[in-house]
Amino acid sequence: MYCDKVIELLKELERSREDTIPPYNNDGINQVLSEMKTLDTEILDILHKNPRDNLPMDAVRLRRAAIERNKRCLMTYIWTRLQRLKEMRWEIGAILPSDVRQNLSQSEIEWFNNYCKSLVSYMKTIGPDTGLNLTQDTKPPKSLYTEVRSLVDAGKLELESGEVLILRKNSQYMLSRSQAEPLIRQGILEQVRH
Amino acid sequence: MYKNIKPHYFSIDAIMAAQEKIPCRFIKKVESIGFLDSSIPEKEDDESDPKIELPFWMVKVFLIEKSIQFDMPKAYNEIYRGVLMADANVVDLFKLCKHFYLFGKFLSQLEHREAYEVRKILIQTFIDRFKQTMDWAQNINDNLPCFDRLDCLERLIFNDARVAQQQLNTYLTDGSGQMEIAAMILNYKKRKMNENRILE
Repeated sequence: MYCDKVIELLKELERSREDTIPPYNNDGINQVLSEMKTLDTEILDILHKNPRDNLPMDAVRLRRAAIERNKRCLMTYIWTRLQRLKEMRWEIGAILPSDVRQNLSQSEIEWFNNYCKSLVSYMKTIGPDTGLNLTQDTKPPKSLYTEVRSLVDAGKLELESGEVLILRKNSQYMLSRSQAEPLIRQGILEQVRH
Repeated sequence: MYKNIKPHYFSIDAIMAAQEKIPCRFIKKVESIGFLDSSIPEKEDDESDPKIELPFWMVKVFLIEKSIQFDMPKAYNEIYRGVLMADANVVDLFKLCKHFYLFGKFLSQLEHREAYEVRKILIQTFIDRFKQTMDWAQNINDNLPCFDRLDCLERLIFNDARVAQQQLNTYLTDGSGQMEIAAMILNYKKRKMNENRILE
């Protein structure tokens, strides 16, 4: 029946977890597009075959509705994926894990790069002269420094003062909050609770 | 939160709800759509009267010319309305109809003699079940058995309620200002660990 293929696409997306992006289903999308083309030619056929004053309007309307619905579903497919990608930019940062990147289509990668660019250039224009990093201090800070424990052997970390710190697993450091926060979000450091 | 619940053009739930089937029959002869009824092979066009099941969005098309008549689907017929009226809390809504509220809302917007009753039962069911949903979300740790019985809309509310409850608990025990690992990365790490374990 009409639109079954596109519903399959959406189901695939719905089944996947909200914080992942399943592989871009190029074949599925092409199949839906060709279904839409067939529907279009069918409508033209019906219009040509029947006399003008006695058109089977239901048949035409049905096909038209199917085209509209296919369009809506395809756009939803792309939109939902973009929403997830956008969320990843805020949660993970500008560098995506390689297995997420593999699942994206070419235009999605392009979109992501453009989104990063727009975000960065926006953050440069607001706040005091150097700009304001919106991904920082998502929760109100209580102190300038914080004690953290390293969860992995992360290697060298250059501090804002220019000193170089070597992060070793299970050792604790005192870092400035602004520098610790992105690393905590990435799961490299953990805040020590008292 | 509200934007997730309200159906919009790009809402997957709204699309899926419009895909639910409705039992109906044609009251006029309609040309060039005989292929819809795959159960009767070699049939040119739909004659008047055979009963078939069509998705909601198709039914809506045929209703423009009034060439179709439909009955309320199982979950909304008189028997189930009686069950829901008696005690909505015991019904497994997910099994009955995955998008119970959304599909019901779409149905009640069509012209049908039972539309008003359906509308009434939707609101009543939601009110009756809401208290239980919130109760589960805030008090049960292991939530799977009851979660399975909720409809899609209720699931959204349930999840939001749980997150809010957890946030409150963290605030009460740890206070504010704690920095945490991003939920996405946490889940990503867990998945990786699981994959590695399977590989080994």
